Amino acid sequence: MILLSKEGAAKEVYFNLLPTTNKERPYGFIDFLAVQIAFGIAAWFFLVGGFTGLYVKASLAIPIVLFGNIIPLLLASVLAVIFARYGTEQYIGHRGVLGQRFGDVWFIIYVTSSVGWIAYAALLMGSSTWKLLESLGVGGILATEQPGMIIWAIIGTIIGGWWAWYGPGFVKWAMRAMSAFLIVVLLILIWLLFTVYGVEKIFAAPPPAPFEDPNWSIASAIEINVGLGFSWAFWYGQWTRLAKTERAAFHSCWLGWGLLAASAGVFSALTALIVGSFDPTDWLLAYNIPWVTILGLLLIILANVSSEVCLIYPLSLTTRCRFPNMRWTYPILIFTIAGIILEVIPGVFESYNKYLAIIALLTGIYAAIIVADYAITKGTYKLRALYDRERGYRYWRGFNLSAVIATVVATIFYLTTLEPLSWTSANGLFPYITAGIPAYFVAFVVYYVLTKSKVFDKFYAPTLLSAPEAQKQT
Amino acid sequence: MSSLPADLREELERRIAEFEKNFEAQVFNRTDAMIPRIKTIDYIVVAITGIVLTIYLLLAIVLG
Repeated sequence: MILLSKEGAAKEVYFNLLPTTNKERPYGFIDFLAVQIAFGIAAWFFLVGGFTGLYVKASLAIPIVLFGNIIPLLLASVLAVIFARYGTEQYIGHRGVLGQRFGDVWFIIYVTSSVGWIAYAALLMGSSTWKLLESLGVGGILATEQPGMIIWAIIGTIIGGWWAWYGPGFVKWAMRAMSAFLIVVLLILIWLLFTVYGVEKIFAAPPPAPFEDPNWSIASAIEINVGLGFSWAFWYGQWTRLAKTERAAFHSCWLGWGLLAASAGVFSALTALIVGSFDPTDWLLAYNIPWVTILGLLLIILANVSSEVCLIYPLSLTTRCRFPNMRWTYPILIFTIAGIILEVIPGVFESYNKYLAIIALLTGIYAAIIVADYAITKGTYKLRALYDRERGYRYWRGFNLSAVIATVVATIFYLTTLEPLSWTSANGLFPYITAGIPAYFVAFVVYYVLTKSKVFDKFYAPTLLSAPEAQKQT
Repeated sequence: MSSLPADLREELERRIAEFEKNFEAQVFNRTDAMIPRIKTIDYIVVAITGIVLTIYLLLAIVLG
């Protein structure tokens, strides 16, 4: 038997299921903020902001982008704390709440649904790159829609996978530089937006493509922003296990993914309002200033490549934590190739709203259950039991029934309030209430009440035990 | 854990044992453990931010 050397363990901890120790935490507040900004400012904020600008006027778009993206992060913020506390990867840590097998169900939901993000980031990069090259008079195959856009998307995905392979040490320094660049360019573009078009024109412009019913416009705009806001719930622990303090993990996530990255959403919403298109490329071309076009092109390329890194690394880490015998290169390859496959399927780029609504449904409910459990347990779990798949956190055959029921009830509520594929409301509650945030509270209340009332007390449910009793449990 | 390679299993066991010995009691007693613990003020900051943003949105909708 060959034991891992000290150096070997120190390296392996960033690529496998080992919990991090306090000496292996490279990320302070600024490092996290940089990663979350570079992760956050990408296709998703440009597209969500763009759609928001098509639905509602500026005076509504700004609060909707801020509310929709920050409130879900605040509601889910304790997820950052739990995994920082134990140093575990998220999909190991959440077994304490969901049970070993129901945790696996959410693992499958996470990895399958998240490939869409890889594709969207790459496709937006591809779409912008070929259009902007064409506008600059560049000829050749790379400046064409087909196959130029797909080729650029594939290139972006491969670069993202390649950088992700190096792990969090490389990512930390790359993202510091990247996030500073992204924020500066974004500020320049916001300044240009107001100087070129003027504040009055922006705030007086009617939305170019609203719904017939203004309430539907407002509710739909809130819903897609909330979808993006909740979507981060799947991505906490893979990063916050590297945090030096719980406070750094807690605040950097909502500030980075929310307040600071949302500046990209606000910029996008206001520009879409003026230009009448949700596609960022059209905004950059509308300025008709070559250096702005080039700067914007750089912003979009770097923003999306950095986000590819921030997607593929945690997806690969989570997968390897579930299958620790797998070589590190394999999950990197799997997600890079899966992203590329999705990128070549027609119609993916145009279905972004529906994708977001489905993500809001999944991640909002997931976050609610974890946060409700935190409200009961204050985030106290047995580290050994999280890893022990035979005996630890078994609940009922690996399923925490409170979590299962909360998931089912909240899903039914969401789908009857807003059916994301047809964008219709069966119970008529939408647009008077939205779907994502109410579904979060439905899941929260159901889980909290079932757990507190000890309905399933006969099953092993450590969340019901007092702290000293729980400490004795395995 | 039994399916893990021997070296990884040993390292994992060592880390869990170290956590149990040095930090688990602090976690259950809700004090600083492996890393400094979050404070009540942090939750208050987040709650105030949430309230301000909600009021801002409601005002924007009401005032049109």
